[in-house]
Amino acid sequence: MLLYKAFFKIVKKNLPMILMYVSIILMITLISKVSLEKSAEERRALKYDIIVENKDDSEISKELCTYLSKIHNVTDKKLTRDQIKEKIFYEEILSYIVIPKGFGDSFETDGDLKPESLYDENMPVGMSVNMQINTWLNSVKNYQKLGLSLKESVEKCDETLNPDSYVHLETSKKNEKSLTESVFNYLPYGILSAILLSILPVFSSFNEEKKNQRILAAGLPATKRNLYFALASISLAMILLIVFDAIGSIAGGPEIMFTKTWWFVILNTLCYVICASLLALMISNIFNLNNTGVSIVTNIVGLGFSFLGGTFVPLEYLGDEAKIIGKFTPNYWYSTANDYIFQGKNMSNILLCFGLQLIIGVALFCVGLTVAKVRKKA
Amino acid sequence: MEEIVRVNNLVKRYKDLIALDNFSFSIKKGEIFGLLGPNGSGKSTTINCILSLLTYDKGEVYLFGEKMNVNRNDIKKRIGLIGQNVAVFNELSVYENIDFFCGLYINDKATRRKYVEDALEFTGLNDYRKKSPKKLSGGLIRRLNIACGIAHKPELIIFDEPTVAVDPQSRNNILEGIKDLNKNGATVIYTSHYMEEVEEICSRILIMDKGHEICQGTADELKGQIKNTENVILNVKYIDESDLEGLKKIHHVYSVKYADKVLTIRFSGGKHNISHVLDYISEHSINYERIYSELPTLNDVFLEITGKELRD
Repeated sequence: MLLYKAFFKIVKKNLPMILMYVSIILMITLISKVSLEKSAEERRALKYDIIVENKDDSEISKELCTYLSKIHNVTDKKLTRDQIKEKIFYEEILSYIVIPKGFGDSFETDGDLKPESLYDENMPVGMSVNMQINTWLNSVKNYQKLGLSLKESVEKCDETLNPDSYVHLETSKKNEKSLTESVFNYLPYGILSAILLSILPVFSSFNEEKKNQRILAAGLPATKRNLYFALASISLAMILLIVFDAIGSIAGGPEIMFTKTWWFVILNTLCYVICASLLALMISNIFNLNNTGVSIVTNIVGLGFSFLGGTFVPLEYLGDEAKIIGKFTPNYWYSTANDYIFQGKNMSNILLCFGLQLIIGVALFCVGLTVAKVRKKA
Repeated sequence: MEEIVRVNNLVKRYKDLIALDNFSFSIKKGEIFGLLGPNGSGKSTTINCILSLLTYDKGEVYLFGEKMNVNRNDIKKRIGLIGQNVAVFNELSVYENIDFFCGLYINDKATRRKYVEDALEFTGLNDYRKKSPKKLSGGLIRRLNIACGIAHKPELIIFDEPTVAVDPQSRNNILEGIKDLNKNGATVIYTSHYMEEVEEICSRILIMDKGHEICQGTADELKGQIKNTENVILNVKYIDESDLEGLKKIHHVYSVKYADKVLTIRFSGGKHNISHVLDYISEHSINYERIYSELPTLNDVFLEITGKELRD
């Protein structure tokens, strides 16, 4: 356990830097969440201030007022022409709607009498309220023609035409999915950087020739030493995996947790963590880095893989050449798997991406071992 | 007395270079054994072969009476190694470093804690136990390096040029420490190319060059093997070739060397040699700044046997 403990003591020295990458991912999550919520609110905020002057006392006019009050901020008021013009000019209201007397009778007999809408013709959005009224009236009429009563027709229209409940429901669902997907897509940057920053300093320190010689002279068998390092690396990788997966899962909310998608996403990050750990071992076998070297390698590899592998830029926006290079990075296959998981593609495609990440990891590790062996022989 | 180390006909080749050429020696319990030789003579290679850190082409190494090989971890646990380069973890504190290296040998926590405390006490690092090695001075970090090598109370301690690039005060501390460790029962192998240090602390010395033994024995025995009995040294700004020839004719003088404004006259026997030199230089009006006489050193032993300076 001595080596295991020493491993984590050295990792602890780099904890502030590792936490920095955790914070970066947290910030990205937060920013994504805020921006998505804001855009959803903007969509919901398409409720305008309007005034309805109902001169008719019919059921249909009352139902129309009720409908309008559901989709806009309606005030029931009677204003003079000048007052209306002033309110529209100063954008206090979007439109002033007058339901003329006798509108109810006209509606029943398919007459021409319709609600009058006053709005600023320079603002086309004013027309949209007019269109909403016409659509609602036509729909009610059509339902009535199908044999429904006025009340039933209004209820049907509420179901089919209520934009608030309909749009809100769809966008809300979409937002949650997008947030989870985008946060999990960013995770490889944090995972790779944190793993490099934790594993590289430890191995660089232990691989230092004189220290290594002293440890070898102490009679600690190489197999025992490698076993403890492997155990420590796995423990560290698992801790980082839990931390980063927790961020992604919390961002997704309880709906995503323990679903099929969630399990696939977790498996995807597990494959990536294994690959990133093997990459770190390869680098530590080839280079003996000091602290500056570790920072440089972390930034180059972390950012390079993230840009080429579709972590920062969606894969569809990458150029063909970049994609060809990107395919040699685990990030590419992680991002592809992430896309497939959230698109609901079949399992074989997803498993192939998992496998490719692991193959890249093993290949990198073998390269590191070969270089180390050649160097040792030399 | 019990033999702690026995090296038989060790041969180590690096491609065409023969680093150790049928090299043999033995060390008895309680000795401070000095392995003296110029840089590249094979001292560190010998140590690495003894510890099985290097494979060798031929020969045998016996430690504590048993044959040593790379898998003899039980033997390795009885040895302490202090190299010329500081090998400690900057990421760990002084205490953690000693505890880590001690832990490579001692599993029992309570024993280890006591041993670490003893090592801190012995090296005078008690006040620095929580400090990072990065914050220690050069002398203190050397002490830490030693503490890491001796904390597990080894029976055989190998010091591989521990005083390279060390200030005189720290060097004296290290040498005193080695003497104390020896007094406490440890057998010591001390490699160095500094003959004064070896002469000061070693009970027996082996001088080596090009991978084989030149001679071995106590410092007095080694000096007794050569004809040089006294050196008279003068600081002279200029001297004629004819005067150098003239000095050679003084009775018992067998070598006269003038280099870097230092004139060294070596004698083999004789009495009042410095007076004879003074007579000659006053007769020939040779200007000098300083004149003194000294007994032969291990460098003279090396010089006489190999024909070159130990410091070359």
